[in-house]
Amino acid sequence: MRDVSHTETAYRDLDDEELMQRLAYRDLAAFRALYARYGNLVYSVALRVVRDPQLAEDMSQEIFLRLWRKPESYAATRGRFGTWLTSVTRNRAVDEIRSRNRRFRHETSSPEEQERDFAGPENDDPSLRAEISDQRRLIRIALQGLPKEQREAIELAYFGGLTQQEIAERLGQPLGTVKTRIRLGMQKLRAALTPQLT
Amino acid sequence: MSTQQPDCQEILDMVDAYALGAVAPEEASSLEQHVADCVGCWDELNRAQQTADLISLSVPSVESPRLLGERIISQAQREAVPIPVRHRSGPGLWQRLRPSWPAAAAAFGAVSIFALIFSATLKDDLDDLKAENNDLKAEVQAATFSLDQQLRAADSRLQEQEIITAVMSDSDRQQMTVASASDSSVFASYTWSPTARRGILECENVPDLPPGKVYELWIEAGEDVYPLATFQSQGGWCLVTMDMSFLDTRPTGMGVSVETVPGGVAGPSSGWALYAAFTPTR
Repeated sequence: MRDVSHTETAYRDLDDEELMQRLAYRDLAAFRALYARYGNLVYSVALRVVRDPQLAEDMSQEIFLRLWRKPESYAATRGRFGTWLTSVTRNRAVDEIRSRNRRFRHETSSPEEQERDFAGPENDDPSLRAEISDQRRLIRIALQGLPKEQREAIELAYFGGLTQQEIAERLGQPLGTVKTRIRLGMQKLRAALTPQLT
Repeated sequence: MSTQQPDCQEILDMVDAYALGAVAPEEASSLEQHVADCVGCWDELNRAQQTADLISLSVPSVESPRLLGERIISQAQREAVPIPVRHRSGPGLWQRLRPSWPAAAAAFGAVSIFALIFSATLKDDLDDLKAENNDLKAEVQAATFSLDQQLRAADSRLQEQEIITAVMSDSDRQQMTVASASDSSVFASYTWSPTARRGILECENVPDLPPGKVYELWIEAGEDVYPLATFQSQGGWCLVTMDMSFLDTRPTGMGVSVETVPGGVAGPSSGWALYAAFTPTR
């Protein structure tokens, strides 16, 4: 049998927007290419939030099939495709754990524990395009550059789906302290990531 | 601004937490009301939201389960199959003319009649095509399909006819016989335009496949093979249009394999049921 791995090769040079345009015409090869490019990242984001491999799989499947069924849900005006897709995944995963209102939120481990539990290899996902990998590296550096308390508050909010009040209770800190940590941390992030903002 | 509402500074203190989804519902509501009328705060919220969205990219990569991808692709393929099957093949000519057919089927039948006649003669001009197209549109409007079905059908026909038009209007178009590996009674021909990089496959006496199987059309370019469409014959007849404009290199042949649905995600799983090598262009 022929080796048709080159099918993916033909689409590898297409950018995300071109692949999405082809999705509107039910181009399965374009869908395969998008999954090859973002499958690991979407799964990683879902897993980081829900902390349940099976549920993360379900989330990934839902996200990608929604993309297949309604490619028009993405518009280039919403920013870069990769950022949009991962933030959609995060939002969906947070909605899920909130609606389930079960152990996830109360058992959310610290960012350090999550890093240890779910950290992948040091090298970035090779399936990602260079610009996405570069962007991810910059964002990680920016996050690592924050004081631990600020990073912890931001990640508990973003990946843990906790409100400021819940974070304060969890950390045993005054609500005002948590609000300040989040505000200062986000300001520093914004300053560090300004070139990445559209 | 109302004195009961938070002022801009209070809102600006809140936008980052809001972007992270970390404010209480009542705070979120007051912020949303404020930014609806305050451009400055809306801009800050937008920047905060963009910053928050970037955080999702920071997660360490975890390799997803291998079977997950196959499951997702297979499901997508299952959902994709009905479209090409419905619009790219049709019943026999006499069946399509039966007066007892519902109006909806008549619309599809008319498409197939048009495509068959046009392809068989290879000499119809573009004016006829446009006229037929207008007739088809009228038929579609009269059909009793649901709105969704009508939109899908019109879009698919338009693409199909654009390809037919592109191929048939190319004076350098080429036609070749497509050979069956096992059945000499099968007649198939492939007409393609090297300029437009589009083609049309027509076939007769192709065995209808049992449920769960489809024909899949592949294009060859050197050692590479690319999937183009899945289809099913009906009454032994098929008409498939294809767009090869994405290819960077010149196609060297085309083949049709029989695939199981879902499946065929990696490539043709069996030998060619039909195959034609492209002759070099001048």
